[in-house]
Amino acid sequence: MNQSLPNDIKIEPPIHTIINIYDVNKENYQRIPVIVDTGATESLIPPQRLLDLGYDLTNAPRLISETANGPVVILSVTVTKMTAIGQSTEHIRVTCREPDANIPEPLERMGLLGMNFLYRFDNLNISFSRRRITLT
Amino acid sequence: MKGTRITMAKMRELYPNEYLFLTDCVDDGTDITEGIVIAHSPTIEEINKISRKFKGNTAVWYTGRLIPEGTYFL
Repeated sequence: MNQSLPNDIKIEPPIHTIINIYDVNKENYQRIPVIVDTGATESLIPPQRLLDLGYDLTNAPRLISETANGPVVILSVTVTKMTAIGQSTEHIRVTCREPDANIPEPLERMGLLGMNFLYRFDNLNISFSRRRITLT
Repeated sequence: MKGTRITMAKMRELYPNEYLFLTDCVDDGTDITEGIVIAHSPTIEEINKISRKFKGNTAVWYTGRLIPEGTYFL
């Protein structure tokens, strides 16, 4: 079922939204809840969701990410298509923790929408008084 | 109610604080508003066992709070 993508979304803190990550053939996708994190350079996706969509994590490049809890190993995967806040982009790198890592449960439920996605667009507006976020 | 299109409000009533595997979802940009529940479980591991078998427009969704009350997320 297709639906138009709203680019003006009601928010409550922390700012949640939904991203769609497409599979390797751009035919199927999963919705994933995320927190909009302008302090994150990369978007972080639960690893199981990328496995569901057919991405190969075994041979994915491994990087070291500095986090609030210290350095952790993350995997880098280029997904075919990603949509969020009414906008869409293709061939974008996302990251995930290693599938067998001890991941805090909230990060198994959701991801982070980082600057690597937001920076592809012109204007991110967060209106706290209107409780809306828009990306154009 | 498995296999029937229902609202997220109904899912939260039927399956509080559980993980769901959903197909044919509709969302409002912040939350899924309706979909078809294929499976539900108190643990995400059970849902992860089946989630790779389905194609289309799917989601793994938690009906409780994404960040537990009293938890700080830094």
